[in-house]
Amino acid sequence: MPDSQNDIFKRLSQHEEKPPEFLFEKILGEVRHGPKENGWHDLKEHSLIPPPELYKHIRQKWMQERSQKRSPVFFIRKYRAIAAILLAGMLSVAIYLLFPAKRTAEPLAEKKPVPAGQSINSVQKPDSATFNANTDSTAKQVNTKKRSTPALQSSGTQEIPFVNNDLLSSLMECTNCNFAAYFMEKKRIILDIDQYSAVTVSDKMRLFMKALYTTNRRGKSTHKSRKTKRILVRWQKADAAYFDNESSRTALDPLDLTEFLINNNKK
Amino acid sequence: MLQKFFKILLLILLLQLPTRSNAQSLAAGDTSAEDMVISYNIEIKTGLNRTSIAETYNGGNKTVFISKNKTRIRLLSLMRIESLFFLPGADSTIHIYQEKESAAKANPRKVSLSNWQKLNLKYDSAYYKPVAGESKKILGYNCKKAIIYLKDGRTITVYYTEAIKPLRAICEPAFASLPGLALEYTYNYKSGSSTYTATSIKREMINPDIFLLKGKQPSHLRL
Repeated sequence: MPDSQNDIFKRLSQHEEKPPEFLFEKILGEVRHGPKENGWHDLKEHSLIPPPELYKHIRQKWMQERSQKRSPVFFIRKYRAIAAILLAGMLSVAIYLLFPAKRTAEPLAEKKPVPAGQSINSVQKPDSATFNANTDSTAKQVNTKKRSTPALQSSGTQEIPFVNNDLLSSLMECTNCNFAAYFMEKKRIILDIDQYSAVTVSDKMRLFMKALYTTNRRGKSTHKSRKTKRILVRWQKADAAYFDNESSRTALDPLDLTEFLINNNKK
Repeated sequence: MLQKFFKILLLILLLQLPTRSNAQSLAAGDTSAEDMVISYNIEIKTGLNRTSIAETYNGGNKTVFISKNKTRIRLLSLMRIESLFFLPGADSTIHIYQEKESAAKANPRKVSLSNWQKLNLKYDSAYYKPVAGESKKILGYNCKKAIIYLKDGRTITVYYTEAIKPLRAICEPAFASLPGLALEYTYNYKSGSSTYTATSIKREMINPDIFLLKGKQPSHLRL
């Protein structure tokens, strides 16, 4: 019995039957001309709803990638700033080295201001005995009254260091003093020395010295300012050459002084 | 009512009396006060429009300090601060010192009498001629005009007051011939001139430090 069953299956496995001709042609025609329109239309309207976790997952992934991308950008910016600082530093060093003449403009460096509170007090007695006695006897009668002459009153708004007891040098050397404002004003400038004396800066001199304090946009002295300073230094030298160490004339003599000033009237 | 008015008037007059008497005594040349400070303003005219070295002295100050037998003449200007000291010596002679203060190191030097005479040789035998009818008031003093003639032909125009004793001849040889103190003087030279005008006269005790060589100097200036 089993042998007969096996035979049937064997025969069945080897059995083949050709489909009918019309069926073959029908299938071939459908393949060649495509499926019917109704079939695509169904596909178009077909939609699938993604699972809700998928969106969150995509967003998280995207954020992660974005943050990873931004960090190198920040890094570049930081380097750019450092590079800019370095460049500026190098530029300033180059300017400093290229223009040394502007730094060492005028030769008055050796003069140092008298520090506040310190006074030149090494008294040399001209004639020790008599002079000392005279001074001691009158020492108690020190007058500390303020001057009251209206013409010589000071505004008293600014104090400047008195460099070597030299008024002109004091005005020239005081770099941190805001003189520009004083010299711009059409006002008399009076320099108080002590209770007895004061010096008035003439209008012409005020206008001339105004240029001394002019600065450019970077706060540096201008060409005109440096020129004014050079002229003042030249005047100082001319004055010293004429009167100092000269026994035949003195600035205290009105005739000697006037003749010197009128004869040296070049700028 | 009238009595009240007169009382107030009397009170005002009484209050003003001391100041008036003080002014009168000054005008009369009161010599009881031995100390005196005279300040002169210096005005320089160059006759030119441009600014020159003269402007560094224009507006300067000349101060004369007189105390007993000591005198100091100080020139104060933007350009230069310089003093002449006339101080009594032990042998009753006058010692003259010249000190340029506007320097890194003030170095007073003694001026011998012969050198001083040489320096002021131009004023030898200078004489003055009063200008009749010309006078003016300076600091309340009646000043007479005069012209000082120097032997070399130069002249100085001066206004002087006889109310105040002149300085010792050695201190200001230019005005040695004048009978009073010069309160204004002008020296004309070429197209320019210099005028010294007294701006104040104070009769008060002078700080003795003023007569010290290399004396105290202010560390700061007031502007």
